[in-house]
Amino acid sequence: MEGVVKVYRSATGEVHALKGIDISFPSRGVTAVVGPSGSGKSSLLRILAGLDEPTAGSVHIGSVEMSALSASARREARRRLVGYVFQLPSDNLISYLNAWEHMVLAAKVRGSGLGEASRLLELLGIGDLSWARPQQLSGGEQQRLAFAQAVIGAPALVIADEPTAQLDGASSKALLQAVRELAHGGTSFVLSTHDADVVAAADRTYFLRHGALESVTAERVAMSVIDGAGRIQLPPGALELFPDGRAIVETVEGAVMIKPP
Amino acid sequence: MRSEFLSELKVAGLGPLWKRAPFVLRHFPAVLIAVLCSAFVLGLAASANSLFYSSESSAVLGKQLSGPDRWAGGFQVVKYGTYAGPGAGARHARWNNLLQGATRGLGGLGPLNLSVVGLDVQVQTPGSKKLAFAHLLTRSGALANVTVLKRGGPNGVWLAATNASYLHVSPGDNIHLAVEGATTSHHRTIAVRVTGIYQNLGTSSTVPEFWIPLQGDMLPPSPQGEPPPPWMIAGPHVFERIEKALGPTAKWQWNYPVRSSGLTVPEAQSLAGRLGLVQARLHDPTTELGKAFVNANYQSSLPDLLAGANAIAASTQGPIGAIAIAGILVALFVVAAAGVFGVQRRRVEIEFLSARGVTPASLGLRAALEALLPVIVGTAVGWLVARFLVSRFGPSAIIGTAASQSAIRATVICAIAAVIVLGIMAGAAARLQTDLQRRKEGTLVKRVPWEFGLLLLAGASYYEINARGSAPLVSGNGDIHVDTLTLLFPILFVAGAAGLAARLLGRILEPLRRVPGGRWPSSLYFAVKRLANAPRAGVMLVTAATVSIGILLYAGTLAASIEASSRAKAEVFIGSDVATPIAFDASHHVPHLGYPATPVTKLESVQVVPGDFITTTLLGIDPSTFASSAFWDHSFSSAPLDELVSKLGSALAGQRLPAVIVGQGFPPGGSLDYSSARIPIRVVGTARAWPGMAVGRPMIVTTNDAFTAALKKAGTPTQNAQHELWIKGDTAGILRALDKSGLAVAPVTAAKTEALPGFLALHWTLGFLEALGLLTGAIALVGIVLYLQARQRARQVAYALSRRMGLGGPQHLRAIGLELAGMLLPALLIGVTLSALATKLVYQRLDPLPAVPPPALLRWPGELIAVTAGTIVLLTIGTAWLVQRSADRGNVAELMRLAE
Repeated sequence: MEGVVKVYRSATGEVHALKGIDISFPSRGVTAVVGPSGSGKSSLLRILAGLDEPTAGSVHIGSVEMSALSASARREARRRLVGYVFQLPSDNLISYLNAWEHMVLAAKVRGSGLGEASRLLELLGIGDLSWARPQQLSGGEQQRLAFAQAVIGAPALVIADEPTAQLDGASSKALLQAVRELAHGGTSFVLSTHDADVVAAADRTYFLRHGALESVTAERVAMSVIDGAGRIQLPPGALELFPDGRAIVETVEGAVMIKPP
Repeated sequence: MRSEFLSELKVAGLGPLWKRAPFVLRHFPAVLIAVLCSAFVLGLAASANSLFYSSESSAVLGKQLSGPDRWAGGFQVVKYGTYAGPGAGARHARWNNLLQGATRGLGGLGPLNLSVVGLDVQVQTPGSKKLAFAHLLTRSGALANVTVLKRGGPNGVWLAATNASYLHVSPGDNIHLAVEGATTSHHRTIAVRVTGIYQNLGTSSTVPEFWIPLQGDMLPPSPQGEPPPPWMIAGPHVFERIEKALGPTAKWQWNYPVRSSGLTVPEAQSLAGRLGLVQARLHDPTTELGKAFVNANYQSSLPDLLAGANAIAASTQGPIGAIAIAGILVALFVVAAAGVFGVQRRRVEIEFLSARGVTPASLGLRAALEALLPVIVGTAVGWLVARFLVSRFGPSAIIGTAASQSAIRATVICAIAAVIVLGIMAGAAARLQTDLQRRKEGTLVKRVPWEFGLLLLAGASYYEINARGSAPLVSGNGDIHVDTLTLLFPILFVAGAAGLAARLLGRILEPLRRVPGGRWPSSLYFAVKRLANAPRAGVMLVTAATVSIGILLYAGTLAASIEASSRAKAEVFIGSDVATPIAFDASHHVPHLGYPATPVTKLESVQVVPGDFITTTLLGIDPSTFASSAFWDHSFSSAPLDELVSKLGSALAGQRLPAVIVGQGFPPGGSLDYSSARIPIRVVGTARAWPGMAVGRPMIVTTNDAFTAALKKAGTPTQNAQHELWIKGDTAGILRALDKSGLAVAPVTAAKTEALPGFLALHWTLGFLEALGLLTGAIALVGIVLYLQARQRARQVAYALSRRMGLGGPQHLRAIGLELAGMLLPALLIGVTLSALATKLVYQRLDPLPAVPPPALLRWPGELIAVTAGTIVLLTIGTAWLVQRSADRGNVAELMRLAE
């Protein structure tokens, strides 16, 4: 994503949900997107998934520039390239289809074989529940089925909006284990979350605040993000040092020092 | 887009979604109900036109073929010949066989009835000089259709009571019969025994149906004329014996009535065609039938009656068709709404599939497939119910097969259209649902002020109605029907204005969203907040309810007004509820009938001088009984009737005839010029209209006494005067009383005039419009239920939260009641106001007979308004109770978890 801006217009005025996001996700592995409510996580994910259009900026999945596609081409690209998992487990399932039918549906939509569907159910530990309807599955099982559907056909990207929010600890752990295994297959997972377990399981974590990217953590190293205009977000704790909103910035021996005036 | 869609279909193949689609709505009962109900309404609307038209045609035909016309609409063959003589029996049998053979298999005809009418004979008892007259008749079933007073032995004749009484004969006595007018030189007599005595038929005001084919031989040619002699009924053998003795001339009359169970128009058309073929064979002297019935008279009025029925029914086809199309459009709109409702109810599934890249077109197609079975079931049930309703409450229970098939075709076409519309709307709704930007900008319905379009069309219709310069009640070929625009105008006007009013109501309520309402009762607070925050569906429901109420009341008001107008006009024409000619001057000998009655004397075509030879009617009244017995409307005169009559009664007889002048054109100081006598007039009052007046002819009203005295004084004969008795009250009761009194032979009733097929067609058309109002009311009702159902989860959560805050069940119930009342009561008020406005604009132009006073009357259907208001109150209470019951049953813990 390059310079992605999203502005919503409402009766009370404009809402700047994303303020120029530059971000990239590795082609395999798990990326967590965290941030407080209203930080722009959902907008980011929807734009990334091709469910919404950015007001400005561009989005690429592999070699496909999603933001330049027409609605129908974007839909087609979404079908091929993106799997999306909603927050509520029940939102990812159709009440009158059983688990196997969900997989058949997903396979047909993506043009994949049914053998993979069977393998994925087994991989996610719900192989013996293929007969079950959503209401007969636990929340964890429902969410694993949702992930199985999302990854069938090996899309480039699977996006999940707070996938563990409705799950208990054990179910969360089982799901994350499954996600890690699926990531080895070459799919990139992007998970928005408030859950520390998800952050811990991720290869990389992006922190969003007020619609801007605050920092990125990779290989246990947290780095603040400097945007194209040279702006950097201070962590909330550090911000308290600057009650007047003014700072002295000095470059000292290859480092930048920011201190109150 | 097309290739994408096709590729998706290819990919999807017969996936589980598509395989399950036909039965999937059973998992979504609310959506299933919405689709079923909308399809049901569509089936009703689609099939109603054909079924109603057939029912109406059958009813008009039934009216045309009722009473005497049942025989006239059938088939009659009359042949004169000799009854007795060598070979007569074989000849008669051959005629019967040939005619039976020719008419065999003609569906729609009743059983053959053969009458042989013989001579007028003189009847005497031996040794008596008293002479009575009778008309010889033999007819199968005759004795079963008379009231037998006395019965004796066999092989004789049956005398009418008047003959028997006059001659003082009883069963078993012998009488002598002679040919009427026989001279002494050709004196032919025969002695026969009297077998029985029956009640005379000719004095009844209505001839029994069995005797209608012979009524021409039974009733006097005019009220003043001498009645023909009564029947002397004999069996075939006695008849033959008398004929042999007195002279063999007889009239054979074969009558086939139309089937008593009623005919559909296609059946009648088929029968008319076949009867035409039989008549052609009778006319052709080369056929065996033609040879046998040479010089016979044969006739059937069926083609004329059928043409009349078709003309009357066809006159309503345009307006009813327009209403039906409006109904279909409304129903399709509801189907479309059901499609949108389905998408909203399955929002999660739609978003889930959309996220997978499933196209809105595919979602729409699947929605159409899912709706296919419910639409088929709903429209089929709609067709069945329409058939039941039309046959049960429509003009006639008889519906032709062709009409049923046509209704099925229309229903099938509409069902296909419904599936397509539902699919398109579901696809569009799915697109909107998944497109955040579009959702935020709002829908077309919200943005475009479509109400102005409707109001513009309503204005154009109204302009056209006025500019056309003709009455919206078009009289073509004597038939009365409502102009299509007169029916479309209120629908457009009420729908447009209701939409605008509902939109305005929404705007007025909008500020209430931000009102804290600290001192408000909690139930009122909840109701106002819910109404203020109601989605567009709420506003649409108010509009729908308003439109239904408006159309219903408009049709009800027009129906009541036209009924009152036509009744008033009929009574003006007749004078009162019933008018019967009196064969003698009964002015001072009015029999007691148990109803207010007044004798009047009419003299037509009296000229007024000086001037341009204005022709007027002179009416003599009885001042003591007129005001209580005659019809009167306050619009007839600025002075009350009592006052006018009193002036006439108290006027002193003098040189001038005291009179009330009715109508215009009477010159000041004018006189009447009648039979070379000049009768000067003294005007004691004037009126615009008067009971008994003819269309476009002025009338001079005076008292019977003054009338007679003036004519006597002028030395003028009064034989041209017509005497009538006007009677006020229940028509059926009056007719029974007249029958008993033996006074009347052919009374005219206002109710009968009002029930003429032309007037009935008018009532049926408005009835159909009322049905449309009820239909839209039913739609609004279903919409309200679905609206409540759709918001039930949110309502349960709100109720659970409000219970946490201490709001009790009764308060919540009141809040729901107030919320519903807040939607329905404005709908009622706006509907009543708009219907009143629309009616006010057009009612004066809906005059069934503009030339006949009084002008069109306006009658508000108070009962209908009361019933509508009562239904709304009951609906509000009942629905609020059901919603509260459902909210009480909600699992609070689960609801709270969802709310969080």
